[in-house]
Amino acid sequence: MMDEEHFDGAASNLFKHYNLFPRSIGQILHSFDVEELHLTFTQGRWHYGDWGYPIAPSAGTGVELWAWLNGDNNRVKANWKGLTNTLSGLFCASLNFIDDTITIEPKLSFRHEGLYNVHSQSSPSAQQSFNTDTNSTTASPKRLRYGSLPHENVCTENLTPWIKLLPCKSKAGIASLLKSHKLFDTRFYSMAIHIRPVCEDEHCKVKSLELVQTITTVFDVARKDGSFNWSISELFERDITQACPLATTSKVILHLPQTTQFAHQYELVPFPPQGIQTVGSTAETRQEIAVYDLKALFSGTRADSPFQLSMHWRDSRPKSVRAVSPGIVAHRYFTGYGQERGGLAIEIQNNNAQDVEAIYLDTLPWYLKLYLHTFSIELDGKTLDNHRDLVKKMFYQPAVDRARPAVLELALVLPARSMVKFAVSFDKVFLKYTEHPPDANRGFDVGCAVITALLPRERGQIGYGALDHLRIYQEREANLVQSARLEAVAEARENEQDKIRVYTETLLVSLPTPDFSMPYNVITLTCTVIALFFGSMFNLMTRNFEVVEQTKLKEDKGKGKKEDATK
Amino acid sequence: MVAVSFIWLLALPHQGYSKRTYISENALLPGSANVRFDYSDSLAAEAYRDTIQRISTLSSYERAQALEQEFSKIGLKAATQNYTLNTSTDSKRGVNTYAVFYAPRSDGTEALVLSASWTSRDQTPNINAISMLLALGRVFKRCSHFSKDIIFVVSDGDADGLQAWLKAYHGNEENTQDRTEETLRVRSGAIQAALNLDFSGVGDYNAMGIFFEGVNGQLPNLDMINTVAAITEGFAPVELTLHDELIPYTPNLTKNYLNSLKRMLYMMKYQAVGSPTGNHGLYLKYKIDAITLYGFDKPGWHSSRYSLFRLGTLIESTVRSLNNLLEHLHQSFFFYLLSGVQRYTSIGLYMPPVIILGVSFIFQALSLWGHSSDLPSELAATAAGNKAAVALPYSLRSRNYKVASSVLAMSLVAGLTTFHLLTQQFGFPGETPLLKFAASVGVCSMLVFSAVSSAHVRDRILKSTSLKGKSVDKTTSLSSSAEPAPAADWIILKTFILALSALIVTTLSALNFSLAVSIGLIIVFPYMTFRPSHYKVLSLIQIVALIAISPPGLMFIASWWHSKDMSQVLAWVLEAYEVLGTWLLPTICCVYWPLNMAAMVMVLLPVS
Repeated sequence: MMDEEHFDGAASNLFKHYNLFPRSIGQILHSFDVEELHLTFTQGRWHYGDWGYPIAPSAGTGVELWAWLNGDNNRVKANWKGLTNTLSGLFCASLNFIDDTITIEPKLSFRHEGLYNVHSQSSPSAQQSFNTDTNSTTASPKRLRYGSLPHENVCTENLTPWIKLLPCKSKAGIASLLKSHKLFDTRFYSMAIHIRPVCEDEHCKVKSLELVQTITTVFDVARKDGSFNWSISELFERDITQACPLATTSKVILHLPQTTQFAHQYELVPFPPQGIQTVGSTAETRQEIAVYDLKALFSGTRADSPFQLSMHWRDSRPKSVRAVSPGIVAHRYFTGYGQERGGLAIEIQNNNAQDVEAIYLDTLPWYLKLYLHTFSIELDGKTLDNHRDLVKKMFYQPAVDRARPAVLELALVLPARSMVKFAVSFDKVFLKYTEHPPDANRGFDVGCAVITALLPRERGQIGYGALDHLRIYQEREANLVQSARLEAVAEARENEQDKIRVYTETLLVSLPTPDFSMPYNVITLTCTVIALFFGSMFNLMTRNFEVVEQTKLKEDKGKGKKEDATK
Repeated sequence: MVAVSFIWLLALPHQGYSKRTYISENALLPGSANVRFDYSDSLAAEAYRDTIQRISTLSSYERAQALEQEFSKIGLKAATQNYTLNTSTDSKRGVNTYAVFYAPRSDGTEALVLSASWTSRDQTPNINAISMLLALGRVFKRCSHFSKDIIFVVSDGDADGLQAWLKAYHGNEENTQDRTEETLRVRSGAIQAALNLDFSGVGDYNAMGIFFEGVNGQLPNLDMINTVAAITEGFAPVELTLHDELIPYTPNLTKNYLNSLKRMLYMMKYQAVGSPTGNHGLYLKYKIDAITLYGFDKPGWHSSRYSLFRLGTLIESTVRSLNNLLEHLHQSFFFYLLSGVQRYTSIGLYMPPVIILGVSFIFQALSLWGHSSDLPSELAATAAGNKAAVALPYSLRSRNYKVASSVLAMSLVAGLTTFHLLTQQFGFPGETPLLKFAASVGVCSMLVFSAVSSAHVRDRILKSTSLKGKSVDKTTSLSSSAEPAPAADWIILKTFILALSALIVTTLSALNFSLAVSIGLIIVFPYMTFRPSHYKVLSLIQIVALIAISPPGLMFIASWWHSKDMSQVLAWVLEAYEVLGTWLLPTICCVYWPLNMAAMVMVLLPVS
């Protein structure tokens, strides 16, 4: 189950007023000249094969930050550094570790999501979206920066600043459910802020900023006792006692289980006041949703009682729930063993009935020396000699030691109902001993690869598109942001495509690790040996030994006595 | 020196020499976690036991399918893997089942493996172990505190199933005529550690053995064993021992020493042979620390019996400990000898005796080398106290390497030939390993025979020519024929053999200590003392001894000891090489046998 809350009123004119828009964010965007900003904290893996696509965009495990910054390269470089450091302070995360060695500038992935795009492109087609420069209309140059920290743990200290950005904090509305104790006891947790410019009029002359905050969690309802019954107060251990008075709309939208037969397997308490509604045009894509308008609920007769919602299944196990069939599923894993060399394998499965264009982006740290000549492609288990059939474009940025990572970006055409597998080999670098982290034997995390694909709307429905679907459903009022894009979506053209991002698994690579207790042993032992051996040997070799005879000895003694006496 | 090394080796198992084991990795915290495995889970395990018992009689494919369904019912992602493997003696095919428990909110970069094979050590169905896996899967599914994924693997066949699975997991699956390993559909992260369960039958047990020796004598980190030992001591009391021998504790020092010696010899035996004592051994190659827990029932043993309930808590607690790991196991020892579950001898303490043994070879080789240059006349002169004849600091006497080096080269070639003969398929009718082995024995005996006879012939010719030369030279002055006759060929050859032996023993001792010790002890007396003799009987005895310690002789002894057929022993060695990649066969064929052949030639060379 996913919840999302909108404060569309929060979208304000660019830095004109801060009555709803958080000032902290506005100031950051202003001082670092940020056009678009996307920051996602994720803990856990999204199992695309089992869960479909997330309703709100969520990234691979760890922290992902990407932004479009205005200005030329040098300015962007300085601004990016400032941005990561400031956000690091704001969100209590180690974002300042996104330095040059892991920052990249993708050429094909992570295009603008701001609405001016729609205007610059009259008909958004797949080919055009591959273009490297999509804003030919805008005068000032913009540059993309992307960085991710795969091993960043997300916890309460990141949630609190996120809640602080909300106008009602966690005092009212859906956000009052956010109890960290329960949120972090789930199978997947992701929270994000997305900031992009939107248009306020049809010709996009007046722009404003839109801030979208999302939290996605996956509860395993059946974990405790195997029963699929749930209620909001059980899941979150909190209740919604009032709607946020500052919000224009405040709704709980429940995406109901899509059963193919055996209707009425479950009971919703309370039943939605407007009845169960459907979205989707054809029978195959029809999705049932239940909508609870909190504003209406709390303004009505039951204003003082908290909002309760629960679902009870008649049988212990739901029957004939429609299986999720995500269009594109990808997995990535390391091959080989040992600490000298290894390989990387990526499997992308296309379940669609038609060819799908996709962009694959992989960032590999510099300590994995990639050999591009070993790059091979398998289609359904057979090795392809001609890569051109599948790989339309390829961008490869070789790594520079201790300076920048290797970036591999491929524009692919995935044949219908096929499994494409890439493989590439690499050597592991023997790091300097000071470059190892304190937990050297754990290994190094390699961040996830991202596959951006344009999926037909029918398929991508439980994906990014769903967010737009739900938005349309909200029937915005006239004074809300009207954008050309939303109107276009509302037309629900048949050839409409959704851009989805599939994140692969994070990986752990073990590099050759010295025995860190060894240096001490070696240093101490050699020092001792040298001190004893060299010292005594040197002493023996430089000394002149003579046989001292008895008489001479006596004379010497006598002399010594005399000398003592004179003194 | 040999005696010192012997005594030192014998001192290794002594109580005073070994130390008590301790948990080195602080993150493990064995037994500190609250275990979730409760009575209802043990009931569930018993229910699974009935299911497994029912499906264990089905064919490979069917039972794998059934098991996959059972795992899916728990809510784990399950799949099966087909594999075939054609060795020179056998064709194996099977189906593995595996399931992954994805740890909630974890990044999935690390994983632990719990595995069990369908057949137990004692060749009976491994029912309790597999039902334990299912029950544990059910328990883990309820928990949200795991930081590592847990992979359940039920492998088919002997070791071949798990081998195929591990290969495919590491992306090395092959698709050739000899081997096919299906690509895995469900994966997780880098495997940190593995526990292999071997609990055959459906009953209770009164003891548990730990098997830990892997392929080529590789050992898991000692902390693996320590963790289980610590948990069985307090949390889940179970009688724990090494392997499957229970030896009662005695306060008697001598008896105690003998028991320790016995346990250590067991371990060294398993290590030297190089084939793993259980499926855990296959993980070690992939840098995954693993041990096998083996439940067995020893009638008449005093310890209390334990059922699935205690076993469940024990294994869950172990998994929880391993789950605590922040880094790959690296703190504790990787090289050790165990003389009890809690007594270990570390590498620093057991290496010196083998090195001394190796050095003794070197010393004898050096002294022989020196002897080969000593002039008998000068020696005689110095012995007589004739001070006028000062011994030269160098020798004019030439050494003749031709025979020695050619014999060694030939025997190495012969060794390689036998290796290829044994491991390659030629496809002629009636081709069996035994036949090929006979052929290789033939090759070797041919070599020995031809080398010896040609050496004798050469010796005769040389003698006759030198006699002729002397008769011719009689006219010239005697002083001009100062160039003395070269040293006997056997001395040079023996020098080479001893030097090579030293090289092998010391090098092997770092790789596989037990194998080095056993090879060293077998060859030390024959190679050091044997020499050509004028007495036919002595030569005969020496040859018989060398044949006895030659690979065919050792194989004969082994087959007689285990009362098995020769072909069975050979097939076992071959399979270990082909399936698991143990080095025993290459080591014996390419290193041990050539030296043995050279030694035989040496003994039969002319005395001169």
